[in-house]
Amino acid sequence: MTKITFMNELQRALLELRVQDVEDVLGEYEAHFALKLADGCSEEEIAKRLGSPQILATQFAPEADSASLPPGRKGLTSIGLGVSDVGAGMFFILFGAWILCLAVAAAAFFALGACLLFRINPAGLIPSMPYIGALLFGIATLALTLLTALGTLYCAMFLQQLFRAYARWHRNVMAGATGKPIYPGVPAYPQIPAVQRRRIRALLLTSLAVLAAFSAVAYIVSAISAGSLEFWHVWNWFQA
Amino acid sequence: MNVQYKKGVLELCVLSMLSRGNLYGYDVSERIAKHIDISDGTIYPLLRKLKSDGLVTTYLSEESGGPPRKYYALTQTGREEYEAEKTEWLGFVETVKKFLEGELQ
Repeated sequence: MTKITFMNELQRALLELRVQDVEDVLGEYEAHFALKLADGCSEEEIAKRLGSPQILATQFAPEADSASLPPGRKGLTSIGLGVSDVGAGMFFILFGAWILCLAVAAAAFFALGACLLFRINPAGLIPSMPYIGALLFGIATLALTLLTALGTLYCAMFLQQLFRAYARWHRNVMAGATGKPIYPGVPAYPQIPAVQRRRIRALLLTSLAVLAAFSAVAYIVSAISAGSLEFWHVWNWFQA
Repeated sequence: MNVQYKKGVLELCVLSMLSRGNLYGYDVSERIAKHIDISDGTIYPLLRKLKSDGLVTTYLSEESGGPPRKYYALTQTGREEYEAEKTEWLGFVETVKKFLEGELQ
């Protein structure tokens, strides 16, 4: 079989089977012939090695398995997925709101820590205390900031990963109902490399230790300096 | 060997080749034909199926002195699918081997 015959038969078979983008398919075989001819093979040899154009054409025809699925299954699946989407959507919004709260808390802790450290007192909001107490409380607050910020970051990653996992599941359910291929599932938890995970854990433990130690020391120093265990009364913190 | 039987395995071989670098159709076909006894034409329908399944994507690349070639590259999904299928296949082969060698009855 010559190249022309092969290509003509292939084209006719593809058109008969209503294969999409016939030109695209023919292009691949054109290129195959061109490259093989350049290698010194004869047209007959190449066509023989390619196989029968009719059989090849059937391999391009979309498989008929989507037609064999019971009718109405797609609609039912869509309704089910729609209900599930509403529930999942509310969950994602709530989770997002929680992350926003955490982020705002982290920002507030940061502002408080900075005010304490640098003796800034916007609108008289910071109660009076000796600078040594403010310094210690400030460092404790910054450790709390780091903890909250890491928490925010992790929750955000978790939300993103959950969303991806849900989207994949959604797609696979629909694919299952319409006879399309199923993709592998996505893990629900953020996939953090082991090295980074160890670093984050060390950072968390350090800031937790700093928070505990500096809070305790700040309390002791303040109590001694005020001469009272309830130093806030001595410094009139809660009086307008 | 049974054609249907081979097709699934060939898909995995093609995914594996593409996971190591992008190739054009002829290149894939030649590399496979060198080691596996199938007709040369079979790889093209397979590549097209992988594309319509979203596992690979194509792009045209100009080569020096010739028409642009259509290259195939794995998508993110293709990569995930390949890793999953690879693990499954290796486990399967291991079990079959044990049956054939009489370790499992």
